[in-house]
Amino acid sequence: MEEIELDTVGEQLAVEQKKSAEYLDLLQRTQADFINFKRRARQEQTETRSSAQAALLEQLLPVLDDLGRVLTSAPPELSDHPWAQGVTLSARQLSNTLEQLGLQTLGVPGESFDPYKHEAMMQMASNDFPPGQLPR
Amino acid sequence: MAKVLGIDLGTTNSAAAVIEGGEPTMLENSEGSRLTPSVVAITKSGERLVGQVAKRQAVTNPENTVFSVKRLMGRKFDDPEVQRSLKEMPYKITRASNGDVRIMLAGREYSPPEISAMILQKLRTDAENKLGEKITQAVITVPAYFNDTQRQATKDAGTIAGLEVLRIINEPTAASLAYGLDKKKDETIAVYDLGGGTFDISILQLGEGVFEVKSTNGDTHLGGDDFDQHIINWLADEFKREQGIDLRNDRMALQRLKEAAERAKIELSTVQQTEINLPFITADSSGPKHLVITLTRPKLEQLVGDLIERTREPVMKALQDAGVEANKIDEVVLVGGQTRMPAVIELVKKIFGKDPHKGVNPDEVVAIGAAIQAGVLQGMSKMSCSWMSRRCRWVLRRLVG
Repeated sequence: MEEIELDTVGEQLAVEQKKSAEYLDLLQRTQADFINFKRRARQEQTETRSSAQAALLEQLLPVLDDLGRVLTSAPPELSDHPWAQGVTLSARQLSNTLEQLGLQTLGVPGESFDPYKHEAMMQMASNDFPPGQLPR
Repeated sequence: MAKVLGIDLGTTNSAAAVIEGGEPTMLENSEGSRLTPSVVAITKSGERLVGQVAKRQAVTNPENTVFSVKRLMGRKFDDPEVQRSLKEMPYKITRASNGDVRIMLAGREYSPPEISAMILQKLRTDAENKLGEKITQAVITVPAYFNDTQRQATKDAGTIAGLEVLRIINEPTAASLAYGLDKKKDETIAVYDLGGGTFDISILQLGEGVFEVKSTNGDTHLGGDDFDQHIINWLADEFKREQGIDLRNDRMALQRLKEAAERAKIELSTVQQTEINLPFITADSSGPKHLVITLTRPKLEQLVGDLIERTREPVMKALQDAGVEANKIDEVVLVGGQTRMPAVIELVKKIFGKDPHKGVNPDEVVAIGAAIQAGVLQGMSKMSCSWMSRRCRWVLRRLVG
């Protein structure tokens, strides 16, 4: 009678031990997942701020390009006009503010094309620049 | 627990997702984007570029920049699709001695799976960096119409990229999984996939835990890019009519038109009208010229109406081949960025007489579904069934079939 009971208890113990090993395994895996998650959450928090700012600045880029076109095509006879000077000063103020926010102009003429920094829109023949350089 | 990557290996863009804490999560690449252009290039200095950087340098290095390699996967050189690519693509496609396709890049021959492997390798490396752990296994999606050779080619690409491909699953099946349709009873599902460059319609039958593809149809050369082109042409025509200058001859102006057209198209999915404002678009002897045109949603719908309508016939054919009437479809799933357009949703609603599923980003829905499948397989390989919940086993039965 006692032997039968011992066998049953032994079996139960084996089942429970197996279960506890599985639970321990699961716990360890979950803990590892959680540590990874915490590390990523921290990393993502830092990234989110800069990517939100970058997304906003990116939206402004076409407007800045247009403003650049406004300034470069200003009629020469207006260059001394106080209103035109005011426009130039306002544009400079805007570009200074954006620079402080980390926006930099990339791609000066003569710089080598680098796809990590530049996006090529077209390629054209030129006598002034060797191949692979930015003309403007 | 080692994660299994769910990968949507697309014609235009690819994406990856994993299951984290029981939820599917899209993974951003090293450039911070959830979509990676399916573009591979070898520069003149021999450097290999993949994704956005490869795309950025494409015009300076067209003969060594590969787009849309998915169109060549598992096909023979004489295949009409390959012959079409041969005419359209700036890179060199050659015939291997066994009739297979080879792509010449910087003086070396590559097979389409080798090129696809470069895309997969980037997705894998970026995922590893993001997750901080090694990834060795993946689930990759393919179009439902892919034959065994094309599926094997995709699997080979995974192997070359150092991934054990646990399963190749159909894109429409993945999209259905993302909406949890596997939890439904036996149903007929239509998956309408209008991406950047291709249109696919699939009719699936869910029964006994298995998604069976009843029929597929589509147009391999119809997508969002065609919509953009119609808007660009209209803008250029309007400008020519008013100013007498064809902006299509000016590469810089054309690029600005392209960006503005895409922006306007996206905006018009949420607002009724938008102003396309491109100052100093060009100049002539009389001075600078500006382009200012208002585009309304009805006008946009008129401009691209023929393209939207072109999807109707493949849908009807697919229904016919599946032997199902449109009103007998239980669920409609939308995939691809272009399905955000209200007129596209309207056409789908009209055909099937019901609202399609919304809520999951249509650009990400396939990768999300792949991750869900990957999560289940991840469970299978690591968990013992004894502690797996009943629910989990039930899902497994339904998915694995």
